[in-house]
Formats: sequence, C-alpha cells, structure tokens
Amino acid sequence: MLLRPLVQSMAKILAILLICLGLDSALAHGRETAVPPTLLSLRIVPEAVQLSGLNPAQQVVVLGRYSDGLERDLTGASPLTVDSPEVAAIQDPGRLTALAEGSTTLRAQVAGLSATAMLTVQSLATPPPFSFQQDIGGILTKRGCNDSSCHAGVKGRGGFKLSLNALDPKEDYRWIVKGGAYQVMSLESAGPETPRIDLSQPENSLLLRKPTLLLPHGGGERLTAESSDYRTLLDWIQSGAPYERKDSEVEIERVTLFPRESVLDAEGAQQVLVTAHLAGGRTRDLTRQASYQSGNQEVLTVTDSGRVRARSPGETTLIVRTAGHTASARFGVVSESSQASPSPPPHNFIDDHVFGKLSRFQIPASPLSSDAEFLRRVCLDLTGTLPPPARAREFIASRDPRKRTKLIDALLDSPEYVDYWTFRFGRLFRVAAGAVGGAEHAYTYWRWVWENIAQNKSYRDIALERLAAQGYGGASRHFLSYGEEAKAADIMPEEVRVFLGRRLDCAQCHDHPYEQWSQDQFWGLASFFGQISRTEWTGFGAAVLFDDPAGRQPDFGESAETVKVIHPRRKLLVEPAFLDGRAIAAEGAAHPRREFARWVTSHPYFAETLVNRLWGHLFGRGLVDPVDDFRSTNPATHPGLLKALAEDCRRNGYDLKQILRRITRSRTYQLASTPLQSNGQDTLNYSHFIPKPLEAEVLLDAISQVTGVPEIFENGQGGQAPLGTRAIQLEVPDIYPSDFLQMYGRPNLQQIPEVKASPSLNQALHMLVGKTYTEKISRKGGRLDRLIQRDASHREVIQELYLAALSRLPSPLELAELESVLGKSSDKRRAWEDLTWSLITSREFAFNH
Amino acid sequence: MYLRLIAATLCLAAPLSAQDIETVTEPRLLSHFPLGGQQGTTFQLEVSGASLQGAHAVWFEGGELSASILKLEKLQTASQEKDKKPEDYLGKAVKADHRAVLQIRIPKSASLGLHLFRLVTPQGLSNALGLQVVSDPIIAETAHPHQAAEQAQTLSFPAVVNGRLSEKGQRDFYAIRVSEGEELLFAVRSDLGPSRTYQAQAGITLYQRSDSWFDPGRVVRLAVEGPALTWEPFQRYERTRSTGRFALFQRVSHRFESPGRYFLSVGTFTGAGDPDHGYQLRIVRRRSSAAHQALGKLAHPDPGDWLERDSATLRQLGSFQRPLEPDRLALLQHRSGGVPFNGTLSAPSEPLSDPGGSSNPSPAPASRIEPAPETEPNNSLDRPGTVQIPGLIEGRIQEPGDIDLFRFQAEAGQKLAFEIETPGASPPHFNPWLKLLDGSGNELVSNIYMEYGGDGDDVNKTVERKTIVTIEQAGSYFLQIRELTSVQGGPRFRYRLLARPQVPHLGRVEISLGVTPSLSTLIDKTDRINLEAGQAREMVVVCEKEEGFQGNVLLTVDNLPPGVQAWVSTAAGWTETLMRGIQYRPLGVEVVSPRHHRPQRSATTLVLWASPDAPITGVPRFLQLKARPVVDGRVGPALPAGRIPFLAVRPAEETQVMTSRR
Repeated sequence: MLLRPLVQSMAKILAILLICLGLDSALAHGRETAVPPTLLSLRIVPEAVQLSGLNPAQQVVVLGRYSDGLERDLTGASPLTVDSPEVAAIQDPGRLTALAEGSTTLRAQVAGLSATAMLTVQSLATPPPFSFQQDIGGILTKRGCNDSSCHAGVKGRGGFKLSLNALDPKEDYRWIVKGGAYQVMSLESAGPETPRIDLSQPENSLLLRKPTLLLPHGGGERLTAESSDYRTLLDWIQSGAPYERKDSEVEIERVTLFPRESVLDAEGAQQVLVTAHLAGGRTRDLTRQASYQSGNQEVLTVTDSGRVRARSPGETTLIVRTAGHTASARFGVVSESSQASPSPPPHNFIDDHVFGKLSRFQIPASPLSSDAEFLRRVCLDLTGTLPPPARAREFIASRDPRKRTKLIDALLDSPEYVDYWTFRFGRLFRVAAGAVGGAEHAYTYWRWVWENIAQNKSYRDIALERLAAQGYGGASRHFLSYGEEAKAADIMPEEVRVFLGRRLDCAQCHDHPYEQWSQDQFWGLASFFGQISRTEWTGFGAAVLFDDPAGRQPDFGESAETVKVIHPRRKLLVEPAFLDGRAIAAEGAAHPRREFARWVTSHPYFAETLVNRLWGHLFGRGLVDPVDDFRSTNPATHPGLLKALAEDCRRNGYDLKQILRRITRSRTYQLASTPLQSNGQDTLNYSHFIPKPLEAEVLLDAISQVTGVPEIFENGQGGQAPLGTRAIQLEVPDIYPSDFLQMYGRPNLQQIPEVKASPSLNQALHMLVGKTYTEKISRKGGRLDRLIQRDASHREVIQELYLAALSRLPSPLELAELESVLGKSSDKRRAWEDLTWSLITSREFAFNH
Repeated sequence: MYLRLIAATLCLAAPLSAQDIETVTEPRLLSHFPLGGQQGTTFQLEVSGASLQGAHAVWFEGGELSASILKLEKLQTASQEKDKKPEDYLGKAVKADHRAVLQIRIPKSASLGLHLFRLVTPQGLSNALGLQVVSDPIIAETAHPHQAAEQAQTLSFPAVVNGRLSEKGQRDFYAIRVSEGEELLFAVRSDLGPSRTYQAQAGITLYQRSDSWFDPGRVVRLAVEGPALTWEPFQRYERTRSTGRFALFQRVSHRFESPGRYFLSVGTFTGAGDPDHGYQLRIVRRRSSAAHQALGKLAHPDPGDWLERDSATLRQLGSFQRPLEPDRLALLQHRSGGVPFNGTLSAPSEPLSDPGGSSNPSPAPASRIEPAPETEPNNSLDRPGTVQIPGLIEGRIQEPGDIDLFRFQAEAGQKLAFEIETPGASPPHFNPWLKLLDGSGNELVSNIYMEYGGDGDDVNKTVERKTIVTIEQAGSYFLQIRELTSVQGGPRFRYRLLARPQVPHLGRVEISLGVTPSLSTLIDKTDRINLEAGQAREMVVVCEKEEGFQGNVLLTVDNLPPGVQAWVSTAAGWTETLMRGIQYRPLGVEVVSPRHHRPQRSATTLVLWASPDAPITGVPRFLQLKARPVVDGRVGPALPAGRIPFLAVRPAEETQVMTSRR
C-alpha cells in the first residue's frame, strides 16, 4: 500500500500527464512584432522655473511622447535655448544657471516639434537660507556618510554617529561640533569629547580631513578638496559652524521626484528631477544634492547626478534620499517597444489602474478566466472551500451574464465565508492558546473574531476594540502573554505592524537603521501601552485587563518603578506621544490605548494597510509586499491604485466584504492564470492571475472534501474536535497538533505569522506515502466508496472527481484517455483510487489559479 | 485537661505526612449517571469508582434522599486494561475498578438543588458526588445517534435531559421549536470526575439553519449574549478536583427573534468524551418561576461557610455576592466576642467538644443601616453624593465609564471599613474599583491589593471586597467607585457600598485535612475522615482575625462518636506548607499595605484520636467544628465553622479479611 502510488500505477502517471497537458494546452500565443515609433509631442519639465538666491541652478528635462506610448528623455538630444541669454545659461544638458534677474522663455525643438517653459530669475543678491540639516546634512546624505552602512549604523562608525539621512540634525550637530564617542544605550559620550571641527584652523577639521583621506578613513574617499561640497563645509566651519541662521526658513515640507513612474526601452535613459517643496509654495532643486539608488542594478543603473539608464527588461524602484526625506519612483524597461496594447474593458476603477499601467508598461493582459477557473478561484479565496460538484456543474452550465457577480455575493453571505475569514483574522491576530496563556482564553478571543466577522463589523471598529480592549475575555486576551501582561515595547510594534503595516521593531534599541523611525518615536508610541494591567481572579488566568496608572504588575526582578515605560537611552519615563511628537490631550490621558486606537484608525496608513492585506491574499502578492512592510524603500507597485482602494475602503466604512467584493468583481481578478508569451515574465502587474499554493489548512480541508473523509483533530488533553470539523474551523488551532499542517507551513502564532509556502522534500514524500493522501482515498464511507456502492461508471467517476477536485469537467482528451486506461484495469476500486490520488497530488489541485 | 493535651502531643511524636492521608484503599467515586432526577421519582443510578468493595450503604448529606445498592460488581481486568489510566489533579493514576447500581428515591418534598452523596464501605466513606434534584420532567437521551443537526433529538420545554458524551469529539444535537420572541434559558451541568480537567465540562451551542451556497442544510451557530466563559463558585465537595473552574456557555440565555426550528448541541470544549461522561441539560422559559433554579447549587450548604473571603486554599468566587444587609453590624458583632460569657469553662467530658448550651446571650443588637439609593449625577468632586458613617448606598454603574463619588466626614483616628456587594454580577464580569480620596481628590487607598501569584515570583493584583483604613486627619473624604475596565456598565452593574466603623471580629474559619502545593496554590487532598480504631488524624484549623480582632478563638468539635476524641496538637507536618501558602508575603514593590485588605491568620492543629477499642460507627456522621471568640477572658457565642464527614472504620487488615470472606 505504502509504495503503491510510486511504482504500481500507470493510471496515476497517465493522469498526471493529462493534467499537465490540460494546463499547458491553454498557453496562448505571442503578440505581433512592434513597428518603429514616431514622435507625437514634446514638453519641458518643469513648465515654469524660478531661480533665486546666490548661484541658483535648476535641472530641466525635455520629454517626447511617441506613438508606442513611451515618453522618452530628449534633453541631451534637443537644442535647448533661452530667449534672453543674458538672464540664464544652459551648461550640462538641461542644467540652467542664472546670470541676471529677469524673465525669459526656455525652448526645445525636436523633429519639427517644439516646447517652451517660463523662466524667472530674481533676488540674486540675497544669500540663500541656511540650515544645518539641509546644507550640511544634505552633503552628508549625498556623500553616503549617514548611510545605514556607515555612520548611521546602529553604533555609528569609529565612535562617530550620524542619524540616517540627517533625520536628527540636532544630534548630528552635537556629535560633529562637540565630539565624543556614541553609545547605544546611553546619552553620554563614551570618551573625551573632542570636536570634529576646528574653528581656529578649519582645514584641520576631522570632518574635512577624514573624507578627503588626509587622515585614514575606513569609508574611503568621500570628498575632494576641489569639490563644491568641500567648499561648503569649509565655509560653514569658517563662519563659526552655526546650526542655523536666525533669518533662515528652510523647512522642507516634502520632496518630490519626477517622473514617479516611467518606462524605458532597452536603450532608454532618463534624467530625474528632485524638488524640495518649502513653506509658502516655494521650491528648490535638489537633483544634484540627492543620493540615488537603483532597486535592481540588473534592470536599471543611476548616476550621482540622477540619470538612470536601462540595462535589461524588468521593473524596479529608484530610491532617492535627501536630508530628512526619502522618495521613490518606479521604472520599467521593455525589451522592444511596440504599439500600446488596447486595454481590456474594465469592470471597475481597479482595472483602470491596473490596465493603465499595463498599457504604459506595454504588457498585454491575458483573457478573462473560464467559468470553471473563476469558480474555483473565488470559492477558495473567499471561503477557503472547494465548490461541491453539483454547484460546479450548475455554475458552468448557467448562461446568466451576471452569474459571477451573483456568485461573489452568495459566497460573501455564506457561513463558509465566516469560517474562513475568522480563520484568517484569527491567524493575523494570533488566536492561539500558546499566545494568550490558555486554551479557554484563546477561545474567547476566537469568539470575538468570529462574532465580528459574522456581523461583518467595520474593520475600523474591530481595530478600535482590539487596541483598547479591556475586561476578561475577547480581544483583551491578546494583551496577555503566558497569562501575564504583554510588555509595552513588545505589543506596540505588533499593533503598528498589524494595523499600519509598518515595522518599528528595530527602533526599540536605536533609531531605525533603514527607515525614518526614531527611538524616541518608538518609545512614545510604546508608552500608550504602559498602563496595561490585570487583576487575577482565580489565580489561573481569569485575568481582568484594565488600564492602571500604576502600570502593570512587576515580574521577577522588577519593581513598581521599572515596570513603567522608560526610554532605554535617555533613562527617563516616557509619556505617550504620537509619531509627530504630539502628546495625548488631557481628557484622554486616563485611556491612552483608546487614544492610540483612535489615532491608528484615523491614520491614512490604516486603510492602505487593510486593502493591501486583502489584495495580497487575493493575488498572492500585495501592492506593497510583504503586506506589512510599508517603507520608503519598498514602495507600492501601483501607488495610485493603493490610494484609490484605500479611499474606497474609507468611503464604505471599512467594510471587509465590500473590499473583497470590489476586488473580486474586477476584471483584473478574473483574468486567466494562463500567461501569454508576452506577459509570462510579469509578476508585478497582474497581467494574468498568478497561481498560488493553497494554505496548509485549506489544502487539508480540500483533500478531506474530495475524498469525503473528514480529518480527525485530536488534542493533547484526551479529546478531539467534533467529527467533521475542518482545519479552518478549529477555534484554538494550536491545541490540535497535526503533522500535515506542520509540514505544509502552519505558522507558529507566538509571533505575527509569516507563511513560507516553499515546497519541501517532506511534502513530496508525504504525497507519496503519507496517510493524508493514501488512507483517505480508500476509507469506507468516503466519496469513492459511495461511488462504488452506487455502481457508477468510469465516466461518472472521472467527471465527479474532476469536479470535486478541480471544479471543472475533464477535457475530451483527458476523458477519453482516462476511460481507456481505467477500462483496462481489472481492479476498478484500485484504479479509481489511483485516479483520485493523481488528482489530489496534482499542481492544479494544490494551487489556486 | 492540660495534662491530657500534653500527653496527646507527646503521643504524636511521629508526625503524619500528607501523603499518608488518603491511602489507596480509601474508596473513591469517579462518576455517576444520570446526574439527577425529578422530585417524587425513583430511578436507578450507575456509579463507578475505585476501592468500593463491600459498599453497603449510600449516605446523602442532606438526609432528604435515600438509596439502596442494587448491584455492586468488580470490573473485569480486560476492561481495566482498556482504561487509559487518566490522572487526577495530583498526577495520580485513577481508574474505576467497581461499578454499582443504586436505587434512588427522591421524595416529592425533596429540596431542589444538588444533593451530595457518598458510598459507605468497610474501608470508609467515599468522596461525594452530586445528584441534582429538579422539578421539571426528565427526558431520556435518545438511543439513536444524534451528533448532527439532521439527527437532532426534538425536545419541548421545560425539559431536563440526562445525557452522555460517550465518545471523544461527541456533540449531542437537540432541536427545539420556538415562537417569535421566545426567551429561553439553557443550562448544562456535568459532574467532573477526578480525572477530568475543568475544560472537560459540558457547554452549550445554539444553532440555526443557514442558507449556505455550499450546503443549504448546514446549521450555523447563533451569536448569544453574555460572556463565553462562566466562572463558577466552588462547591465545597469539589475542592479536590481542580484549582480553577470555568465553563464555556454553561448557561445561555437567548431571545429568538424569529419563530421556527432551532438546534442546540452539548459538547465539551476539549472534545473529551467517555462512557462515564454524563451531563444534565435543562431548558426553561426565561420568565418562568423555574428559571431561578440554578443547576449545581447545593441543596444543603454547610452552615459553617463564612464566604466573606477567599478560602485559604482556593478562591471563593461568589463572595462578592454576600448580602450586605441592614443588620450587618449586628452580624459582625455576633462574631466579635464582645458580649461577656457568663458560664465557666470546665473540663468537658470529651476534650474539645462543645461545652454545650452556651449561656452567652446574643450580642446587643446594633443599629440597622437602612440602604439609601445613589443620586446621579455624582461623578465629580464638586457634585458628589454623600454618605453617613455608618451608611449603606445602593448604586449602579449606569454606563461604561460612569464614576460615582460620595463625600463623608471623618475624625482623626477613626477606624473605618468599606465593603462592596455586587448582587447583579461579580468579578470577573463586574469589578468594582473603590478608591478613598482625601478632600482634594488625592487617592489614599484603593481596593486593589497586590500579592505574589502566578508561578510564585510575580505579582498579582486582586479586587477586594473590603478595605479598612484608619483616618489620620479629621476632615472631608470621598469614596469613588467605578468599573475597573471603564467599558462596562448597565442594569447588572449594581452595587451596595457599606461605609461603617470597623468591628474586630472572628472571620473565616477553615478546616484543612491536608494540602498539596500546586504552583502557587494549595489543593485540598481530601474532604472526609475515615479513622481506624487506635489511629489519629490531624486537621489544621485556620482562623482569620478581622479588623484588628485581638482575642483568642476557642475551638470545639461536636458530634464525636464514642471512643473518638479531639485534642490540640503541635503543628502538623504540612501546616508549614499551608501557612506559607496562605500568608501574606511582603513585597519590595508593595503599593497597597496588607493592613487594608488582609486579616491576621493563625493555625491550630487538632488531632482526632480513636481509641483502640473505639467501636466502628457504621453510619457516617458530620463532626461539627465550632469556634468561639474569646476576648478578655470572656467567651462569645459558638459559631459554626464547618462540618467534616466522618466514619470510624475497622483496621485495614480486618477489613481485608472481612471483604474476602464476603
């Protein structure tokens, strides 16, 4: 029996081949060869340029729109002129410098087309405003000195610590001007404080001698004495190293990047523009002061001056850093430009965004999925359940043009939806005995999730309840870890990750090395959870959770003082503060978590995180991926779509079903999973549906469903779940050990789960000889047994099993081949068992496609 | 008398160890079925247990019910081998080796509630199991499988079903038909054998038909109001079972908005099931008189229980619901010993037995404290309510976040006590948070107390029913009361707040027959005494002295059979364990002094000694422990302090011989 599947069954091998053939046969053909593009229009960016202050300059680009849909950078190729050459000059391609105050017009001409931009020069005698962060920090950012791999690392380098991208200029100023060696867990200097600048002999400053290699420097040469940045640093020291001038006002509100998205052909290049937006609507060109980084050097390279060049087809992100700010843009590279593919007809705004980008990136979309493919996909995605064969027949046969919409609504209203999304949110919220200190407490927590999903409660209300939970049941249990209060520094990052999609953990011990989060921000947020406390009622877990100004109970080795939220570096009690440093209003001080919950749920990140999470579930990849790792260096593939979905979510009251309905109704979701030759490489733009492996629990349930043999879940306490309980219905899953679920990636809920769906040798062996695959097939009372009892024909069995496992009927070729093979078998039961095994071990079964 | 005490102490040179207290030959009941019956009926009851050989009688503690043993059989070895040898709370393997069939007679006049019964064997008296007496008709569980909604057994109500969860993962389905707006109460009770965990208690789930696209016949659970977890007060007879007890949906109240057929299932949280796993399901209309009869409530509780505080070894979850009546001061004064005892304390014929007919009259009646309702708004310092000392306020947390404040005047040195009763709901559902504030609103003390708990090295906070203080400065003060969580409030969140002068008095008196440490908690080892002639058995009596009670406590044991005497002894071997487990341990992190929340505790070891010629008693009896407060040489009234099931038995060797002859 054990090795039978491996060696004894020709039927099995044939069935596998047939299934593979079935999948492969659907491959479509490529598109037509592209024709040479022609230039359609020309423009200059920016359209209006204002130059002011001493030695001002501005980068401009000339862009041409072509018949293939691409917009190409023609800055170097076009004669760019100014009508009044005494006002401004053009040096490097597209770089304007002011000569005299006045106004003029900038002109570009290519192939008979022209474009203009207005140029105004004023206040050339006025020195530009100065700030340490922008002027000195900007140089340190541009030169990579405050990169996370250099002095902005956790411990700094060589005792010299700078903040990442000059995010904390006051600290940077201190370590430069006062000197001293940085310590991670203390504000004090580790050694004597020797300034890194020399006001009496500015050229002897360490800040200049190290990066110019006049003194040994582990980071190598970063400056030359001839560079303008060296000159700026020297001038600053010579002028007494001020932090800022009193009349300076250089508060940068934001930094933008042009273009935000661009497609290059194989030879393409593009100059990017980096613009600082200051108070009062003024702007400043930072293109030459920014630091650039390509997300994928194989796809794209970038120079220090911000010129990107295509290398090979693909898509990647360009990250730009300036002092205190980070921005990003997406670049695609196509191997051969062609006429833009016509977009498929959209179902809703999602398709507008997706097909719009597909069009810009010249990727064709696959056709609409078949009814059978859609049926299986949407049933698994919305309910984690395979459609019963009778329902599959009915749906496939229906001629109702609205049948897909009706099906989506029926699924969203089904109890199976409640089962599945309780399971999914139970996992996200870590409903597990081991996570909350007892099975019964996990149960009440599960019950809270179940009730919320069953009532389709607004996700905003769910978040509010969870974050501010008190009492002895429900969501309050997740503030308990092993029966004791979770510590503020542990629970806050989890809440932020779950609801705002950001990972702040690193900022607990030090400023975040890669992102803008500071240690002060971390502890300010953590302090919202500093009052969590509990009363013990029975002594065994009937803890009532509440906010106590005295803080939580001390544990071993702690005292009433040490349980408070203390900043590890400043050694001071931390008061709750939002990310912008704002404190709680006095009237909310008694309930800090409630204030935190209100802040979280009203933050724009909240809706974005939710829709991204649901999108990630439905497509196997988030618009930001991983779905809870939003950061400046991991931007969304479709930022416009993300915002539109978030706005839609807010407008609809954070209605989970409505978000799922919106996405599953989109044509994007309903595209076929079979790739075209020309979109097969696309993994980011949803040109076709990318198959995703079934979750362990869904796979196990599917096997039980196809075989008609329910799984028995025994627990370690001498009991078992009621017969027929599905894996997704287990209320406290971790009390039910399961080799199968373990093997297929059931996550450990001691921390936020991250499912790794990579196949393993164990899985392969289990498919061959594991009891889940072998014993269920032949179990009495199962599906096959019932078919045998009613003396079904080979054809009936094949069709029933195909519908049960794949939600489709076999193709005529599959049916004919299988009937032939089965007909030759002398042991009907054995042959049918082999066919069942072949189906449930196939990729088509184990994936949602 | 003193000489006899000393002699007895010397005789106990070899202290008894806790492990010896319950020998393997002591009879033990493990399970029974059915779990109850109706008034005025006679029926057969099946009991399984260990060491039941020779069982010859059934003893009902309340005396209202009677029973005879129809059949007693030793279980076959083969079936014993099949047993999975479950472990009891002490990790000791327990398996049934006997099964008995009893004929139970419940008179029509029998009290409703749980009647405790034990088997009497030559080896001694068994532990107790409970038999629920109900007024509703009993319905037998169908013999057909009904583990799915489509197989559900149809019930009409009111109804009581005696059922079994015979297999692992079993859920028994029942169907009911309701009219629109019908409000029903569902309750289920399962008797936990010593080998079952509290998680194996039966619970209820309600269902309705769904209209699932996948399976239109599928039933889905109904969302029901009220907490999923129910925390139950311990019954005294259950104390050896576990340290905590909860049930999932043990009691469910539901209003059916739509008429039709609904379903309910009975199962256990962990999916436990075996042939001995019985349950009793009850369905009644919410507005019927029967709705007030709770399953599991003792028909004959021990009058010695003084549920003012947690038990020394276990939590008494019900004590927030002790009534604070207008005669509260008189009740406490009765336990204060303040009234002179006029008689003389001569050496009794049997040491430590009740000196008899106490001549001390009842204490002088204290003034009644009539309750006064709170008046809203009273939630700020500038608009408080007022309370006199003594005063009894009846209030309510109207809504989440509601705070009630009451101002009172106090003199320097005044000793006050503040007590709370929560008649509608008690912790962990309603957790009244009381604070005493000075005239400026600064907190002086609250009813949150901190003590060691958990695994012994961390600190637990508890909400206390009583807080005592000594006022340092004359002036105006406030009492503030709110719900701990600020997310709960409503009709059930009623409280009574009593502000009164302190009355030094004798508090809880608890008897322990042996304890076993389990984490930071102590577990009682047994609940009865089977004493062989010529042997001695100790018990530790822990007395709590409340509100500065400085007197002594005179302990007596009544109803001793001939040949059995009770003596004071030196501390038993396990007394130290007991005291270490129950005494306050100071903390470095203390924020609330124990003087506000904890009585003084002291322990006395008594020894019961059966003389070598002591006759066997044959019929079990309760030994009655009584405590008398003694102040300034005056002895107060005899206060019942607990009863101990007792049986004098033959020496083990004799018993063995007798049993084998049978």
